[in-house]
Parts: sequence; C-alpha cells; structure tokens
Amino acid sequence: MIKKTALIFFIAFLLCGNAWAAKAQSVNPDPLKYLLIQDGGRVKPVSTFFMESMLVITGKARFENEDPTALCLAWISDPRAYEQKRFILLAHESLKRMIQADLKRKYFSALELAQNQEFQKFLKEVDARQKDRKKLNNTELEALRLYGRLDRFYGIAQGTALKIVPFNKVSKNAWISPVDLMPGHELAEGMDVKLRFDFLAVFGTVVQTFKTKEKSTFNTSAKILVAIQEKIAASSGINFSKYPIRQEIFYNALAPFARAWKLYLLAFLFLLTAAFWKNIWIERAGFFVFASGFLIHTLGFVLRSWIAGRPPVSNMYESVIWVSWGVVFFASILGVIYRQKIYILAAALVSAIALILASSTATVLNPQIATLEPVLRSNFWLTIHVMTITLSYAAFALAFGIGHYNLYLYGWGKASKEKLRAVNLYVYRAIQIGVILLAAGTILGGVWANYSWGRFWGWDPKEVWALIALLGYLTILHGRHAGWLREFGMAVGSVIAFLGVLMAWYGVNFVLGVGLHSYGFGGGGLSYILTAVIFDLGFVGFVSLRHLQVSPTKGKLANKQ
Amino acid sequence: MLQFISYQLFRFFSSLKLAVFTIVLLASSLAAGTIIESLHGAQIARDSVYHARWFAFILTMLSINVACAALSRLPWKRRHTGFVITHTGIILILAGSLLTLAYGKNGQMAVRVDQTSNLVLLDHQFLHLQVPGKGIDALFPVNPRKNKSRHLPLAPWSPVSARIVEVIPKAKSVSRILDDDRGAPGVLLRITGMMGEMKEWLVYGDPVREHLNVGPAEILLLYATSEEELNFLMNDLAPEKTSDKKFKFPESGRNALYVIMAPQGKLYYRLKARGVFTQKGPLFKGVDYRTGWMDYKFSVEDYRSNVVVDREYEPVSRGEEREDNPSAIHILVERKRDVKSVWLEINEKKTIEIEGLPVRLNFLLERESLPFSLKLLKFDIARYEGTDNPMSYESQVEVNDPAKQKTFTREIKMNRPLKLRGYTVYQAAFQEEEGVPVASVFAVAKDPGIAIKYLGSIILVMGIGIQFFGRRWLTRERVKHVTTTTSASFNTVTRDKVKSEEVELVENVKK
Repeated sequence: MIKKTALIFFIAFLLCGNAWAAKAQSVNPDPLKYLLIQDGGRVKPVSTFFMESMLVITGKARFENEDPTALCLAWISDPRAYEQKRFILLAHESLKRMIQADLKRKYFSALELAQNQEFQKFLKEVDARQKDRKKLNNTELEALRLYGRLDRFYGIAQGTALKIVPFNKVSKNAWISPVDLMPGHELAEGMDVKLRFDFLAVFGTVVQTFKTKEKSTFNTSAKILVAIQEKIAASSGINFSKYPIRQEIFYNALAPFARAWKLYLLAFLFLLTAAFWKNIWIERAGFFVFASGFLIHTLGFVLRSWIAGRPPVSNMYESVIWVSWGVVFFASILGVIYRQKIYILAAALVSAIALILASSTATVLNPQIATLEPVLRSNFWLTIHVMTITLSYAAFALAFGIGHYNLYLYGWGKASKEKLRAVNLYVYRAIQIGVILLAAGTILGGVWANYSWGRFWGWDPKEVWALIALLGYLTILHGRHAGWLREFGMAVGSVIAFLGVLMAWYGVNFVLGVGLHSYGFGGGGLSYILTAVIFDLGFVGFVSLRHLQVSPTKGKLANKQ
Repeated sequence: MLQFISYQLFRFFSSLKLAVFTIVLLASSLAAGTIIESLHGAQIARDSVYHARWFAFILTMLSINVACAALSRLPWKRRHTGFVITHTGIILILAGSLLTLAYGKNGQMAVRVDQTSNLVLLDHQFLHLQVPGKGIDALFPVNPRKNKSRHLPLAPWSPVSARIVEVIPKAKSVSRILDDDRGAPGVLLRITGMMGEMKEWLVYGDPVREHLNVGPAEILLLYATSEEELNFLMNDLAPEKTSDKKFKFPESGRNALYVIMAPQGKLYYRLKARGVFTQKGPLFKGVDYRTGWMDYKFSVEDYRSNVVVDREYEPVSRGEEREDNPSAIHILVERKRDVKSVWLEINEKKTIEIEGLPVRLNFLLERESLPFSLKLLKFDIARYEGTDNPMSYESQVEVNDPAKQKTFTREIKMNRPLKLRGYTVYQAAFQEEEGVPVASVFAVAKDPGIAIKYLGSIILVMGIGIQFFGRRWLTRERVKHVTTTTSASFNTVTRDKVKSEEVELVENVKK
C-alpha cells in the first residue's frame, strides 16, 4: 500500500519540479551560484538578484523560459545586441498612449524606450511633481516603474548595478561594482591592487567564456571569482558566514510555493476522483500528496523566515503565502477532529488558488524578500499581531471554501438533512476560529499601535476594516443565535462575510490606498478581483433562488425534521 | 404603568434585533468612513464620521445594548459565563476609550541635539485674547475642524467684542497690497526670463516681502535715509563693513538684486551675479534692465510710498497639502462702530489697535511641561546596508527626573518608547537642516484609559473563547439529558431553542 502511494507521490513530485521545464543550455551558469551581491539592503546570491531583476524588467521570473542568470550574463556579454531586443514590460495602456508607444505590443526594447522623447518629457514632469511632494496617479507611477525597469536593465548590462565587490572602505557600508574597479575610480581606492585587478580580469573571463560557450574555462573561472570575492570580503572585515546563503540557494531551487500549489491541486483532483469512485487507494494518495504539499509549503515558509530574519508576513505576497498555509493548517486540525474529507478538499482548492495567484502575478504580488520599514522592525509584534490577524483570514477562507461546497449541496446535491447540517457545522467551526483570532489580532494591533505610535485605536482604514469584517461575522453569529439564520443562511453568510475580509486584506491596501498601513500598499488586480466577486455573488444568488424554488417555504422551515 | 414602560424599554434595549441592527449600522458607517477617507482625506473622514455626534450615538446605543443584554440574563447561570464575560469586555473597552477621550493627552516635543526640553506642544489650539488694563485675559479653545463662525463670550465689562469668523486647518497665505497712510513704501517688480513672467511686491519692513527668494536669485529691498547711506549702499555694501541690522545680505555666492529707495522718491539698483557685484545705477519705472543671470530682465511696474500688506489665508487646495501648512484663524474684533479684521497663523501674535485701545491676540498650541526633561545626546539614522533606506531612528537621551533626583541615559527608538510618570515618549520624526538631522521629534502621550482597555481586551477574547469552546464543559450537565441527533453536542442551548420553535411551527402548520 505504502509503495503504491509512494509511487504516485513520486511521479507527482517529478511532474511538479522545474527540471523538465529547463531549456537546454550550452553553458550552465550554476557554478556562479555562490557569488554574492549586495542589493536592496541585504546580501543575497546573484541568482536571486538576477531572478528578481527578470521579474522587475519582464514581469516574469523566467522570460521565454530562459534561466535568469544565463540571460543576464548574456546581456552583460553583449549589451549592444540586447538593448535592441524586446523584453521590457510595458502593458499599461494609458502610459503607452501618453508616450505614443505601440499599443499592440507588450514588450519593448531598451533602446526604443531610451530614445522615446515623449517618455523623457513625461518623466521630467513626473519627477517635478514628485519633488513637489504631490500625489502621483497610476500612469505617473507606472512611468516611474518603467524607468526603473530601464535603469535595472542598463545597470546589469553595463555592470554598474552589480554590487558584487565586497569592498566598502570608501563607500559607507556599500559594496561596489566591477566598473568601480577600473583604473581611476575612487570607490576602489585603498583596495589591494592584485585583488582588484584579478577580480576584474576573472569577471571578464567569466562573461567572455559564457558568451563563447567554453564550458570548462567558464566553470573554473566562476569558481575562482567566488574565491576572490571571499578574499576581498575578508580584507574588508565582512564575514560571509553570517548570511544564510545556502538556505536561499536551496529556497530558490526548491521554489516551494510553486511546487506546493501543484501538489494541492493534484491532491484536490485525487480526492475528488476518490469521492466519485469511492476508491480508497486514490483517496490515500490524495491525502499523501496533500500532506507533502503542506510539508513543502511549511518548509518554504521556514526557509523564507530564516533568509529574511523575520516572520515573512510583511507584504501582500507573503500574507497570501501565510494565509494559504493557515487554511491547510486549520483544515488538517478540523479534518482530523471531525474525520471529514471535505475540509481537506476545500483547503486544497482554496490554498492552490491562492498560491497560483501568488506565483503568477509577480507584478502585483512581489515575491522579493524586502527590507522592513523602521516601524515594522519588531519580530515579536510581527509574529503576534500580523500572524494572528492573517491566520483569522485563513480560517475565514476555509469557511468560505466549505461554504461554497455547502451551497453547492443546497443547489444541486441530493444530500440528506443530516449531511447538510453537518457540513454547516464545519463552516460554523471555521468561523468560530476566525472570529476569535480576528478579535485577538485586531486588539493586538491596537496594543502594538499603542506601543509604537502612542495610540490604541486611531480609525485607520486597516483597523476599521478589520473591525468591519469582525462585525460582519458577529452579525452572522448573532443572527444564528436568534434563529434568523438557519443552515442555509449560515452558508450564504460565510461567503458574503468573506467580502469584509477581502476588503480588509486586499481592498484597503490596493484599492483605498490610504492610512498608516502604507507599507503593504500596492496596485493592480482590481478588475480581476471584482469580476471574481461579482461572479461569486451571482453564484450565491443563483443557488438561493434555486433553493427557494425547490421549496418555497424552505426559507423558514428548511430544517424541520 | 411606569414599570411596564421601563420593562418594555429594557426589553427593547436588550433585544437581539437591536443588537444586529446596531452592528450592521455600525459596520456600514465605518465602511462609509473609510471610503470618505480614501476620497477626501483622513481629517474629513474623522469629522464627518468617526468624531461626529451621530457616530457617538451609535456607539452609545451599542454599549447600552450590550449592557442590557448582559443584565437581561440575570440571574446568570453557568451557561451564561462566556456571554457575560464577552459583553463585560466590550463595555470595559468602550469605557476605557471614553476615559482616554476625556483625559488623554497627545502632543509633540522637538529637542535639538545637545539641548534640553520638557515642553510638549499638545494638539489643542487656543486663541488668547487680552485687553491690557481692562481686566480681559481669556483663552478660547479653537477646533480647526469645526469651521463655524462663533461669538467669543467675553466678560460683561469687556470694552470689545470678538468673533471667530473662520478657521482653516491647512492654510496658505495670499496677500493684497493696499494703500494706507500708515503704511511703508512698496515696489512692484516684474521679472521675465526663460521660465516666464513673475510679478511681486516688495514692501519695506514687511517680514515676508522685504526679502524675496525667486528661483534664480534673491531680491532685497533697502531704504536709504540720507545721501551718505545711499552712497554706502551703492558703493560699499558688504556685511563686514557694517554692523547696522537694517541691512540684509543675500547668501554668499548667489545672484541678487538690490532695490534701493533713496530720498525724494528716487530708486536705485545694484546687481550681483554669483556673489559678485556687477551693474548698478538709477532705476526708472517701466524700463527693462538686464540682470546678467542668463536671460532674466527686470523692471519696476509701480512704486508707491504708503502701502500695507493685507494678508489673508485660504485653504490649501486638495492634492497640494504639505506637512507644514499652518492652520489659520480669522477674527473680527469690534468696539463701538469700529471693526477690525485679523488673520493669525498658528503660533502668531498680533496687537491691534481699535479706537485707541490695544488688543493682544495670540493663536497658540496648548503647552504642557513634563515632570521630567529630556536632553538629546545624539540622533542616529541606521540604514540598510548599501542603501539609503532607513532601518531605524534612534535618539540617545539623558532623562532628568527631578522629583526622584535621578538622571539616566536611555535610547528611544521605534518600538522602544520611554515610559515615565504616566507619560510615554515615542520616536516620531526628526528635523534636518541641509541634509543633516539636527533635532529629534518625539510624540508624547498620556492615556489614563489604557489599562482598562487592555483589561477589557483580555476579558473579551477570553469570553469569546469560553463561548465557543467552553460550552461543552459549561453545559455538561444539560448535555447528558439531551441526546440529540448527529453532531449536535455543540451549542446545545441554541439548538434546543431553535428546535422548540420549529416544533411549534410545525404544529401550527399541521393545525
């Protein structure tokens, strides 16, 4: 039995890996993976930097399925050729109109953007507005982002953005780039001359041999480059061992969250199949795949905490990861207590959808491990406030998922009263967990705010929406207590009340965009979310109609026995 | 009868229907508040929702409802434990908030490096009105959000009456030039160049219009009372050659234009380009003069011997707001037939004369002296490696607590406030001059309600926990009797109630 399940699991795991997707490359840039770079306020492997840059510039971690490191090396080896290739993302309609760019295209070359007079002019205006401390609109923000992409591309291609030389004697605490090592540059003054020119020469060899596809020379020189980097660091008094580099390389290679959603989805399909066919083997395989998804998800979360040095719940991407983890976590506990597959089924789907969103919308949900604003730098409060409150979202998301199943049963299923009532209880349990966590989390937020800002409650939109979401669920609980909301009402309520959570979670940061929780602000995705919400409300409305039509008196007497 | 009415009232206030209604009402008002905030800013949202009377009414209704609901279950039984605890928690939180509202204090305190202070500027604004020698010395709180014209109640023996016409929370000044016998000379200057055209009045003796900073250069207005002084101004004029405070000097190395008013209504000018004197000569109305700074030219459009600057304020238009926009107040002071209109910026003092009687007006922030003082030893901004992004703001302070005769050094930074004698001092901001931080700004708060709020919070969460997960234990005895179907050991009480209602309904239908 174990063998059989293990086999299915093994095949699934293989399918989910990225190995099969890798394009055949003439030279594998792997030996460079221990080369470090200082970027965005921390030290990371160059592979992370190149992947993040790819996301910034093209909107995809793997543009045209190329390895990011390989592509960046290609840029460095031949900037002139690559500045004419079209890969810089520009999808914003009104910005395209503003700078008279081709409306049909999504990608533009660096050269054509750099030479676009309208873009230059518009940038100057935006810059002036920014200096006047005026609020920028979406088009203006997008212009700045586009400039950022262009700047990042040229920074990499010309080498100035590659802060891979750990010499910080002249520049305060900042590493320098190979360009700074060239003769006459001040930032490398005082550096050991041999190390300086060795680094420059070996870096040149690495780039050159990558271009000419001399595999063995590339491998050796890459290793030498890493060794020289370590020597320079030692001479500057920087200790590399304090950085969790191995963990990060492993994290990048594992791509845990992209793997987890595939496993969750697979588990969902297995369990669904098992539910129809009543096959115990498929069901067991489903549970096994689900558990391994959860394991990788957890591992990914732990690794990310380790790399970041803090609980990873500081932006939208990280909260989606954490909430989807919470969904699986609560579903597992409740599923074991009630011995119910429906928890696992719902959690697998909800979690998979959330993780797919997180993995595929990098321009909206930024997966980069970023530094924190000063006010957030408290692991204690991040853990107890942010993680508590977002865990409540997880419980509500689970209730939302099972609520849908419950509605489906009302609309189409031929389930017995007992079954309906039982599923309803599962929804209720999840809501209970959510309510207590949301109440505690909101209050803890007040305690933290009192501790760091000096006020317990200040009607900040994020606080207010957390309260509204809580009030929404309280309405349901009171309505249930009074007997106004029966089973069907609870099912509908669990779906509708989730809108409050959605607003507190996504809406405040991405739609309202005001208030003190500005560190999580972002933009984008509104039209998709709105469509999904309307579609979902349509579903609820349709089921309600159907439910009432089947038995006009059901609204009142649905539960008589 | 009375008993019946009060019973009915109590039933109404303790009803679940009212509870659900209030919760939904509260939630919708809050949602509206956040949308208003997104569209019109936090201040308007606060005024129209969170701090509005009707909102306080909803909260009051909620607390009455919560309290009555808890009392209506008297005498409490074991199964009410969670319910009563939860509702007690809510009432405590609301009570703590009331206490904060009534006695809480919030203010700011800026301390420069190496200096000591114990002075906190509170958020409350006041108008101080004095009529010296007439026994009038009154302080009126000003609420910049309540922009309503109101009469100021002064003592019955007051020789003047006063009215606040307008309060602008974020104001910018607009000035008009008026002819007035008591005024000073003024020159209307026109400057043209690549950036367009600009007209500005220079007014002698005016704190703002005597020394203007206009893009490429500084413009200074000087007044020579005698030929000797004119001679000095035209030929010498350097900071090191005079100690006379009436002469102002531009920043060294900048472009500057001096407009010099001489006796008999004559005008002269001197130009500086990058700190070096270039041209000079008499200045005639309506003639263009080259400046030598790129293609800029200037001319005098108007020259009047007696003008005053009438400064008014208007609200800053939306989207143009800045942190440092001052609040401004417009006051009318009246005596007999004479009415004086006065505009004051926050922290501004003015003395006006009305029918020969001086009236002192001061628009100020409430101040409070802390029972201890802080000396800022050092202010540091730690940054993430290799970037300009701040990691933390840290102030090293020396705290002097005279009551306890204690002096100690502490670090105040984000997420590490100083708590002393009921006050909490937080790192809030800093001030910089030429890119170097010179002062640390602390937020200071006193919140007497916080302990009650925390207690209420703990009780509330405990109550919810007991209600959800302690039911089984609390209603253990009852569960034994009720052998209900499938999964119904949860929430037995409600279930029973619902069920008995259902049975009734079914029976009714059968009938």
